[in-house]
Amino acid sequence: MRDAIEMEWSGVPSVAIIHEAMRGSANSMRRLSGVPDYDFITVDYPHIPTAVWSDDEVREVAKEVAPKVVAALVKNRG
Amino acid sequence: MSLAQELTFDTYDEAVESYLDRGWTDGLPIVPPTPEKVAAFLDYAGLSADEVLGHVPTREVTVNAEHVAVNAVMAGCKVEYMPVVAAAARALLEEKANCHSTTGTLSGAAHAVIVNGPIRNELDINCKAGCFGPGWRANATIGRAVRLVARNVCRAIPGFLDRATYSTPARYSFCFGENEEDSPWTPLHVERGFAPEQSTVTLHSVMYMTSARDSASRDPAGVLDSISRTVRAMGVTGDRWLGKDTNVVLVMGMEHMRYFAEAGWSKKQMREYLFPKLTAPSGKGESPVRLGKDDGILIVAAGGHGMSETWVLHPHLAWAITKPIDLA
Amino acid sequence: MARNGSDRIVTLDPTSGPLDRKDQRKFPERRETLDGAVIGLIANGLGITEKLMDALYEELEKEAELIGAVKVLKSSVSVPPEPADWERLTSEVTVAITGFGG
Repeated sequence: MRDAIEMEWSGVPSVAIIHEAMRGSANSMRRLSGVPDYDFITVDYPHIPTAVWSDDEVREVAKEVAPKVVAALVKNRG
Repeated sequence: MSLAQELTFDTYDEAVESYLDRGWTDGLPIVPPTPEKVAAFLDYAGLSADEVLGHVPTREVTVNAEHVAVNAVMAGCKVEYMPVVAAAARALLEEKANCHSTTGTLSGAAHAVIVNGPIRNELDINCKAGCFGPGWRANATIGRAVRLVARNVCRAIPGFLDRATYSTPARYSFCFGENEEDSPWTPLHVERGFAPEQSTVTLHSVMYMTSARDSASRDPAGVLDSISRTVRAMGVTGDRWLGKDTNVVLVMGMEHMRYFAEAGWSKKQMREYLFPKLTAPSGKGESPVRLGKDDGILIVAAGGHGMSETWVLHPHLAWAITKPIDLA
Repeated sequence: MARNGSDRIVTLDPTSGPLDRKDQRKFPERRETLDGAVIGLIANGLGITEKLMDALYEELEKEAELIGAVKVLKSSVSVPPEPADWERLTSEVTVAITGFGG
């Protein structure tokens, strides 16, 4: 989360992908960083954050988050 | 003049309750940190309130001596403990102590505060039977003070930046000393480059504690083989950033220690025996042991008589940091 | 016991200050599309992060005419990218994606 915020401060539009289980941590980091409304993308269960994912599962998550990533990085999408 | 904001209460009890309500404690009541007590702690340690002890950049945190003194008072420390708490805080804030990760991790890592040198006896820091548990004010409150600093100053608040899945009772307090008097070995701090008379604190992150219990072995190799199996079961974490200087701490009790004393094994010999066994490729049911050097194995003599065991303190992602205890 | 006036007790705040602050720095404007973009992929190394970043890039390629990617695998999960990687990212990429975790 902090890396994305630091990239923004460096002039690069960015987005962080966070697991739902870590939503609280991401919220905390954006509050502490002084940007409490900075948006992020979440991946939810059944994908367990610390589990070893199969290649199919990785592709499935990538497909799911890709449109959200685009929406976060360009104007007027999503 | 204090840097911290002052609060005013009608009664002592109201102050204690308010600190609990504000989430400024570990769930146990605290000693109200009055400006006079805090000033006495700073004065005893020869620290000015604004002396910077370190930073946690990712959390927008700068830790000064007054922060540490306030939390040491709250933890129930005696004024004489303040230099130990300050040294432990400096260790926690060293870059490779990795405060942001070790106090935020899902794994709920604790920190062991290991004290060496003459101050152990001066402060009655328990190094022997029961040294991991309750009953000694210095152990209980020094460890608690470090945790309160992590919580209140470094913002490792459960549900906020502390994301521990379970956390651990060792986070209430975990402080003990090395039993240098009964040990046949060179003490930890001397091995790490300090003079025997220089008291030190070694701060080690603890993701897991496991016991290498072995009542059958009667010789150094047998005991070390048991320890090796125990270390390899849960492993030692590491990564590119930490490099080769990762650590695991082995706390060896009296019953195991005697075999090494009788056979004349030094800590160095123990490390040389253990290192190749620990770092051999991990198999089924084992975890990688990411130690880069044999001197990353830190052996500490502590504990009482009875159980034939050695405790393994498996680290989270951090080095064990040793700092001198500066006495004013 | 510290007293203020009659029987009152004065104590000190044990924290390093409020958890909330407001940062005034402006964030950069978003582009119209990702066409022509170099994507920064900042993988923290936790679990499957690196694979996820690769798969995500493949998906984004289906959406836009990308120029390429700068992928950085961080040396530790909870520290910023190393200075040389940071330099590459801030000088070479158009947009960045970080993850995966908290």
